[in-house]
Amino acid sequence: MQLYPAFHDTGEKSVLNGAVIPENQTGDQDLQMALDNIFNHANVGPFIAIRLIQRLVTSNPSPGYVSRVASVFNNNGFGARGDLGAVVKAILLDPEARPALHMEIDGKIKEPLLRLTQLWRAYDARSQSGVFPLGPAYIVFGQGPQQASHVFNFFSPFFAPPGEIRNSGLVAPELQIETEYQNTFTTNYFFLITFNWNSAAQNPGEDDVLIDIAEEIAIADDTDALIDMVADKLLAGDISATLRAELVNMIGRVRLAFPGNNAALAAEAIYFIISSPEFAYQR
Amino acid sequence: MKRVNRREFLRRSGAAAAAGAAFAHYPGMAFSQGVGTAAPFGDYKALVCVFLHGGNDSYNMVIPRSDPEYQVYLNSRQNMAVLQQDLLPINPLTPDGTEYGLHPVMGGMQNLFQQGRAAFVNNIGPLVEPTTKTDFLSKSVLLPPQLFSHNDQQDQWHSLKGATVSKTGWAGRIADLIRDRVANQQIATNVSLHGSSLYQSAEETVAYVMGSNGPIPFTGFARPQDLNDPNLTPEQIRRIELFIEQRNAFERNINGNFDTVYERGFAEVQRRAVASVDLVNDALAQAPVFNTVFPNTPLGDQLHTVAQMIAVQDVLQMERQVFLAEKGGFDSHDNQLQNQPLLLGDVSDSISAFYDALVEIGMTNNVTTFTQSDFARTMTSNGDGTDHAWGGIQFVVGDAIQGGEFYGTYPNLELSPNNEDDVGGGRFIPTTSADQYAATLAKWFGVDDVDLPTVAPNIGNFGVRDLGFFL
Repeated sequence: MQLYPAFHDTGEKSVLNGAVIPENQTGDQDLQMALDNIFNHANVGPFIAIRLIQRLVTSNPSPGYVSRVASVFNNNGFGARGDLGAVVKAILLDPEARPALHMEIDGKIKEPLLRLTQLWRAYDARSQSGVFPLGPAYIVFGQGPQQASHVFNFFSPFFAPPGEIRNSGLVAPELQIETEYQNTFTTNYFFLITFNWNSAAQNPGEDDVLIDIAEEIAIADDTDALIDMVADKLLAGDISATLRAELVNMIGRVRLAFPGNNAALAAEAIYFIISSPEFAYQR
Repeated sequence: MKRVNRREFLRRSGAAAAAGAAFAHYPGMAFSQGVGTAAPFGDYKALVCVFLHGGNDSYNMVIPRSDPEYQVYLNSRQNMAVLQQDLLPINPLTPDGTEYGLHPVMGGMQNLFQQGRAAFVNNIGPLVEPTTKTDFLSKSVLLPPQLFSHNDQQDQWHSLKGATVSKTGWAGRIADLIRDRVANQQIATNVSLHGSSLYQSAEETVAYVMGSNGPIPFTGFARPQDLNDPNLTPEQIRRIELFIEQRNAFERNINGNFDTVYERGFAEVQRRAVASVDLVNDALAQAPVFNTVFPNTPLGDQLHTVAQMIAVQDVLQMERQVFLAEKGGFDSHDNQLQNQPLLLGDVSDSISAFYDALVEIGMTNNVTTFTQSDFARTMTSNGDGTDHAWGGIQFVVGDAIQGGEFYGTYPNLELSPNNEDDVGGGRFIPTTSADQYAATLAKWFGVDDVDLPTVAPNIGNFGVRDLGFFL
């Protein structure tokens, strides 16, 4: 977008809260005043608070949480409005972000690309070329950097799937792009990564992003130790008894089917966890 | 939570009453999504919505062709105008004194219209109640909030919520209304080829989402091969046995108990995916190979898959289906002259191919295809494109309709303060409402008259509930 002074309306303009932009200003001056006018509206603090809390901590913050964060947006403690560093700090250090006891509505679903980046970070993923190709990200993940198909991004902050969540008046924005098809596509990509693009791979391509599973391979003879290690890296150590029991079973079966193949054991443990609802959930 | 394996689950979803009760807590898991307390329809009908995402510039789709009216169009459109001599003539059954033509890339639509298989619905858009320019300027009627805004007006078309808040769409509400009549259906009434949408959201039922080319299986949990194949090596057998257990373990896990609403919501999507993929792909494997060649575009792919699904509707015991296909890129603020022919050409070619495929399987009377779009675009040019407007032109295709006809009034395209259609810049107040459109389609589909206000909540504000395009 660019300003064409010849087409600029130089008349007086009424903006929010009865404020007036005087006549005969330049387009840049008008724009600056209009943005300042919006920025100083009382709704901006709670609006930004809700949106950032939804992205960083929970889909359904309490009014008190929103209010505490909004007040930091309004004033960072030193008289400044809109200090986003202070806002993020307030969001992450709020008691509601670090509950002693988790409620059913605390937390959020991780959007697909964040599940990928978490896996990559936890396993120090690298390619020989140094490139991190995402493939056709929109196809694999239903989203991609700078690839939103319209200005409202990948999912709506108001999305509530039918059933328990909608009936309770709650939202789960990330679930809007978690369809049968998309979930399968993303899960299949994780299968490809864990079994084919790991540090035990033979002759990888130079752009293949390999997860480093050397630590898992080294301890894979011990099923419990292997599960603990993967759960530490991917679930912050918080693995349910059910998931652990299924994993013990599956690792035992892989061990029987492919004796001595510790890479397969490591891949199995990682894949089974990253395809689970527990991994998709951010505490 | 009660654990039911897939086979047991399919058996029970056929035994309607039992399944409905057992899966009441998991609406997405009961394929039929109904309890079979009402009589089946006994026939097959499908509504196919093609959503033109971004706001189709529909006054460059259907254009006045006769001299005086073309001059008005040209004066308003300036450098966005399509050349008069390039227009493809169409002849509505009921002339309104003006001759019309289609954008030159829409030969497929021209044929369908001239053969009586396609109709245009003029100057249609979201309204709460009939609205004149005086009403609009004096704010004396309720209006759909946030006119001219993409997401809000898409939501209007999807939901028909008017000035209220709604989290359901009109196709979703149709599926809820008829669910007890379609209890034998093996998959959901609503199927999307393009992700989840408000249009198909409902209180009770859940849309099934597949890809442009159908569903895909989980690689790591895929359906096991036949272990009795005598050619299998011991290693292959070990792998297959592992896959079987992998799938069982995955299914047990996603059917387990979870502590949070988010995990439960996520697991439900996975359960639906696992439970449906083999069912749908087995059915699609029985679809014929069409002689019709579809455009090699996302919309062409989507409509090809819809045609396949319709071809195998009996395999899945479907009586009523609502498909959603989508094409993006219509928000032509820039480069309109370059992009518009590609957009409209693909729409015309894909719709035309889809109709031809339905001819091959004898389904043209059973399937009605129609468009929706955010809004039309300003008559004025911004130099390189056009901007957001309101009432536009949609089209309906099929042999259940009286095609070759215009429904609703084509607006006055003149840029003038005295133009009663125009609220500025060639943004036209709709003279036909999206509620009337939806109610007309829903009535044909089999929604009872008394339930039409559930589908189209503002229909009571309009004298005409049926736009009359069905035979």
